[in-house]
Amino acid sequence: MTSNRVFFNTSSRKARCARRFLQSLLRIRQRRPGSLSSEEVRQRSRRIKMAAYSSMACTVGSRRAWSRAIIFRLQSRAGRHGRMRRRCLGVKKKPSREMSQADRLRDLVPGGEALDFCNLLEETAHYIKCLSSQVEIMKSIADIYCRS
Amino acid sequence: MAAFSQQSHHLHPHKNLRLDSTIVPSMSAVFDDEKKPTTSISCFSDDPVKKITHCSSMGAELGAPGMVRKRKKADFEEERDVEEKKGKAEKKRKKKVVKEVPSGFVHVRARRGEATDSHSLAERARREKISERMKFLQSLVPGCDKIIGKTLVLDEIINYVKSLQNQVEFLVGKLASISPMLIGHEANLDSSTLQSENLCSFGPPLPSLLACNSTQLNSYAETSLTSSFSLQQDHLSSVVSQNDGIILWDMDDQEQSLLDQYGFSNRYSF
Repeated sequence: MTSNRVFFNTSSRKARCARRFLQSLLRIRQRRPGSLSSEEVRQRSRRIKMAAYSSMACTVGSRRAWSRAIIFRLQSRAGRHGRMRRRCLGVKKKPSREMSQADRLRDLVPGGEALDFCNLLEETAHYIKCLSSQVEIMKSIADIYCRS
Repeated sequence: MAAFSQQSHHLHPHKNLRLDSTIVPSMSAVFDDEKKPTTSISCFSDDPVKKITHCSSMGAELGAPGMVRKRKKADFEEERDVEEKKGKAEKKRKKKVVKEVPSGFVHVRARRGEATDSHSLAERARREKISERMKFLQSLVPGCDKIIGKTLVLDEIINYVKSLQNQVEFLVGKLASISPMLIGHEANLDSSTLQSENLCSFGPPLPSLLACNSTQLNSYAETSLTSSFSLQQDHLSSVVSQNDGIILWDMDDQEQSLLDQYGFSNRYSF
């Protein structure tokens, strides 16, 4: 038990990300305590998704191109109004047949549009790391609720 | 220089090449094939003097065997001018001096027969960087180590990023379906969450992921409907209330082992 506490006390990026995500998750739930319609659920899942990506990006900070892009998108969206556009975080809906592989990768990695191939690969590596750790965090949170 | 000429006199030129290539770190397999055809242009003259004149007549286009060149890209142009003005013997002496390049520059080594003008050097450095990053990405993406070929590796990376993003979507749907259940609204849960998930998912999702989506969600909803929700709420509030560094929820050891299993404890640095 104590050893685990020590582990969680470490200010690793993953722990910080998890904490941020849990906080925003609770905020989302507090804001909308009950929901009935499918519209509500959709809105909630949208919020959770925003929370997931923003917690990921805020933990990294503005050091990386992808986190900068996510933060900027979130800020600009919040500045406009609450309605989210079709283009969602991280992924865009676009036919990807006629594009080259580098362009496809550029579309996948947020903020990768302006990067050259070399930096794009670097950003992709970092993005993959953060995304996989975020997936692990969310999985474990969901599993806690699943089990209890 | 005498040693060098003797060496090239007695040994076969290809041996020189091999000696040289042991010094230079080998590039990745992806880009190697671009270089091989150019390496053996001036190898087949017996007389070393003749060979060297041939090399120098080509300007700095061909690297002399046994010589390791370290050059800064920007410096190269003026350096070449100087070299062209000076004589052959002086040039050889200078090349040895060139080896001591002050630190902080990008070191680019040209093997024998490789082009050494600044554009080629820059391009070679870029390719090296790309292949190095590609290797790093290959180590990140599971199951990508065995794949050979740049396009296939890129495909795999793209698919992996997509699958990760789809997983995030799926988990978001899962978490969104948890929250209303905590409050106690169970009505039309399955249909609505699945619907929203379909709306939210972009791109071609992996078939396995989709398959597990529906089944897992259904089973998951069934199991959690029967469990107590107030307990979970206590969990979450206890998690977030201790927000000063301790993100530990009051859970039993079973759940902690679960967390460990999911890698909370392996703290690799980003």
